[in-house]
Amino acid sequence: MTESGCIHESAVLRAAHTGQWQPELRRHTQTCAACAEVLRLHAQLTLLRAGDQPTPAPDPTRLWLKAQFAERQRRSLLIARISGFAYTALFAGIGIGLYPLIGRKLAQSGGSLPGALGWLVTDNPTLPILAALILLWYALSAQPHRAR
Amino acid sequence: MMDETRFRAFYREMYPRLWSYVHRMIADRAECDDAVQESFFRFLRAAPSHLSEADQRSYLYRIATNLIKDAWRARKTQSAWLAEQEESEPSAEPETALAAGLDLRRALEVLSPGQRSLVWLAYVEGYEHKEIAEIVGVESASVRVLLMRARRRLAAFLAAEPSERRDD
Repeated sequence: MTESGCIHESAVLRAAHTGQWQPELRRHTQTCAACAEVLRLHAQLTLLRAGDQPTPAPDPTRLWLKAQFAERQRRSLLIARISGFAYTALFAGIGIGLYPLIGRKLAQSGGSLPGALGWLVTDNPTLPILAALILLWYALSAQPHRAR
Repeated sequence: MMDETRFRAFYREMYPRLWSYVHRMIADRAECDDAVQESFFRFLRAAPSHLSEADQRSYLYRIATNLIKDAWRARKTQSAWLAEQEESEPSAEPETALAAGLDLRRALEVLSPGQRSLVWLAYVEGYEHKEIAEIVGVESASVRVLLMRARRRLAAFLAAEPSERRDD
């Protein structure tokens, strides 16, 4: 036995748990105070656990369903985050693409914003319709994620 | 995620063992029950499905240990808050409990929650030092020394006369 216990303590505990004793280890516990103490404590604590009366285990179905639900929620949140990022990138791309065009139209219409935006509606009617559709799609697809 | 049949079997096997472990650190039964259920729930959500059975058990104990640590941190804050209010109140500890002979339950209370956790994992669950280090979150080399200190403290308490134990 050393200042930090006995080097055989782990082996003694392992043998006590598995029930597989080597004769020399068994003999060692009879002469080593630390290992004898380890054995005594193991026996007492095992008895203590045997005397425990746990609350009856609740049905694991509830836990299972709760975990399934949480997992589904995590996935849909992840999808919402990814799609949110994609929409932001899409709108930013559209904005960046349209900025020079609107700038040019602004210059042509003498700095009048309604005049420049009018070009969007009259010359490129598909663009505002597309933007409105994307916004509508985004609003509709984001709704269920918020509800959860 | 683990499939339902395997989880049910794992739950049946591990529930009483985990309950005993958590109960050593959280005496309140309701709080202990909640911690055990939360451990299984977090296990289901976080445990990788490829783990071996032994690793699954260690993983579950690691989750439970973290929950116990959180509970103790919360309790520490709460007890600091309650300290002033309880100052004038007499101790509710019954004399008979201290006078009992060999009371290992009481002896375990002498140890810190961390020491209790180490002792339980080593002496009851049969974990090796390396596994205990992973579960409790300490250096592997420290486990042996920490365990020895805990064992000596426990042995000293158990060896003392009941009247001497009152000073602990």
